[in-house]
Amino acid sequence: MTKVNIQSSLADFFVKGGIHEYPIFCIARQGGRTAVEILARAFIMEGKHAYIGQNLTGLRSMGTNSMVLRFAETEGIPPGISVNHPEGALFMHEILIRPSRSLTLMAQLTPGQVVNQLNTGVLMVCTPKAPEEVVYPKPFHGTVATVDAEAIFAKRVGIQPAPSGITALGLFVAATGNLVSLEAVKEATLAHERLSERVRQANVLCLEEAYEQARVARDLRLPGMPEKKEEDDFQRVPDGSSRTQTRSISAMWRRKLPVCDMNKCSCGECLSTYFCPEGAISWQDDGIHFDYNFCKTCGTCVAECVFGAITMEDPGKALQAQAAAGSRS
Amino acid sequence: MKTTRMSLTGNEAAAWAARCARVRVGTSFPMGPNQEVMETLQKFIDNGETPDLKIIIPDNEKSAMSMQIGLSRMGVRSMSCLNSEGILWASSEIHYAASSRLPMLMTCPSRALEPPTTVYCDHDDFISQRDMGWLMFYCENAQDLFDTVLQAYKISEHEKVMLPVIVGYDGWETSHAAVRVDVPDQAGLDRFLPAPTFVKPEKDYLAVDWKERCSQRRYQQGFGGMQFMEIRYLQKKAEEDSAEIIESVGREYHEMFGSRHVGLIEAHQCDDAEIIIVCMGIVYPSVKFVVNALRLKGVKIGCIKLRVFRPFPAKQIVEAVRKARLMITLDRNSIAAMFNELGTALYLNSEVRTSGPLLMGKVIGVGGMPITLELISQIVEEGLDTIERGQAAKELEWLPIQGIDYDPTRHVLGE
Repeated sequence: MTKVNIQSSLADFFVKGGIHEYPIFCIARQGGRTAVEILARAFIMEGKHAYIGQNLTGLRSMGTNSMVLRFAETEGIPPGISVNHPEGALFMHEILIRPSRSLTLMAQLTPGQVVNQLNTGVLMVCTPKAPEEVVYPKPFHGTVATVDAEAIFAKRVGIQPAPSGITALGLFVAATGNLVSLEAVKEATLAHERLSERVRQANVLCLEEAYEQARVARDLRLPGMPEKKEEDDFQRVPDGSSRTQTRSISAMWRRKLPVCDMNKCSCGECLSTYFCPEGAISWQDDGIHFDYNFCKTCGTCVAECVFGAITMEDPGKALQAQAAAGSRS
Repeated sequence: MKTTRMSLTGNEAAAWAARCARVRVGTSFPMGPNQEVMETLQKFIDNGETPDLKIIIPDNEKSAMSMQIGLSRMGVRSMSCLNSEGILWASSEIHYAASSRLPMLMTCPSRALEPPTTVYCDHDDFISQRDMGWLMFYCENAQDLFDTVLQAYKISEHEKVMLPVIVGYDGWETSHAAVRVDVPDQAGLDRFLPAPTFVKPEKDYLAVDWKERCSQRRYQQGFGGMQFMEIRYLQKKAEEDSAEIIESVGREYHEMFGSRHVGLIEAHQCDDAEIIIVCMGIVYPSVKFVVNALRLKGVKIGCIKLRVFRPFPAKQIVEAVRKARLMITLDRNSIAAMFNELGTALYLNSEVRTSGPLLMGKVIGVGGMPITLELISQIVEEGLDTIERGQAAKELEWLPIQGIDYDPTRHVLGE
């Protein structure tokens, strides 16, 4: 049997089979996973075949969510999370181009791996910057497109942080040209039953606006910015056996933290029923304790607390209050 | 035949299959990655699309399975959806269902068994039930799942089979990825799979006088004692003989709806292949992709998808690989089940034992380790070397193993 180069055979076959491959990254809770599912459904509605390889990023749902969207006219798309021949990449937040290690810990596929591979194609970034200002670690030559998805979403729906995943699909459609029609994406969004009617319609308006506002620069050269020293959010404990986080590793965008006033607190329902989606509430030092490493500041506890004991406070104040509660016992 | 093109995740496809099979009761204890199945069914009910369907969310997986046993006794077509620890929890009832010869269906979106803590996918939960007497199917994608569930009801309820069926698919990777699924029209499906007639209860179980039944120590009705062995033998024989029924139901399904997801195995490019890769689940499309790519370069390579794990299609696989020089098994479970089954099958065929293919086993993707095209090409490359050398470097190997620093006397797992 003749020797063949398997890697190059696979590369040829990707082209031959007309398989398009786009890695997509979002911050957890940005709605990116839902968005990519909608995008896949849009492709399928147009008669194509599609598959989303997706990462579950261990350690609860924090950090980044990495996905690979593959689509082709015919059946036979290889599933899986690996990135083989990316035509481009969509970063739903610019921080993801150069993520700190903590964001990608335990990820099956990291943005870093993709950035190393991707020096041409379509680079899509959700950022207020213009395409020319995008900071990319490696030299890049191709289409660069940006849009401020967060601002577009926040303008219509006042949720902070803005779940701008579906909005970012407007950028995808604008930057990739004729791969998928805006109509199909809008239709797929409206048909996505997991979202409420109102949310679907708001998102359709957002993605239309993102499509119009997207700044697409074709044939653009980005100089490679040298790698900064990796920011490490972890510290080793003295015996070196495990690590601990020095600041939140999941919710870098949060503005307020929950605090419990123990003078008002009297039921402890927040402990016994699972209403904290992150399981960040516990009983420590004779008081309600919030694990700010994992709290995403969704405010569910504030809404649920019958006695109004839990309130959202500025981070400094909250940390102080919790430290004071700890020293009280 | 009119078909509707839909985009469904694996879990949604399972729910749609249940709907198309006119399942009356769905029961499952919700946990990742199975909860979407019952959620989707509940949505059908909420929209008023399935007036006959009921969802029962029980205390735990064991209750779910007990409930299915009762439902099956009453002649109700039902579906459950269990995975990972839940399937172990229901094990005693799972065995009971098969030995009672009750047709029913369970879907199993695989998730690894803890510890160490994980939610990722491998097939250990599915494979752990391999000796329970159920018929076992594994699916490569949502379309496969949809087709298999519909066939499975027909096979399970066949009067010569009368055994429960478990249909597995990869958790998250199949269960949560929306892909294109062609759904045949309901009229055609109704013709293929009419309402169940498998039980003609001599007793109306809903009208039993339970007070009377409980008030005295009853003589146990039915078979037992010295008939036990024979009854169990008949059960195992029915399992073995179901291969024919699976084939014939598959042929019927293919003729009616044109699906390729039928039969015991799917052999791709195996006729003149020197290397044949055997696998099941979501690995198969990747392997098929590599096979197709290498065929263009003149490499004689083929692959086989195991659609059915029980009854194990040993005869069909041995027949397909007898002329090959190397067979590679890709197991996504930590007990290398396919490797062991096929090793036995090859040994038992005297002709193949002396002149048949070498066997090389790989354990991959355990606990959600990504199965990349690079990994598969690496295995194929090793296979080509093995053929040249005439001997496998290692019969069974885990890939990739990086050698982490783990000391069970110091590190605590499972907390």
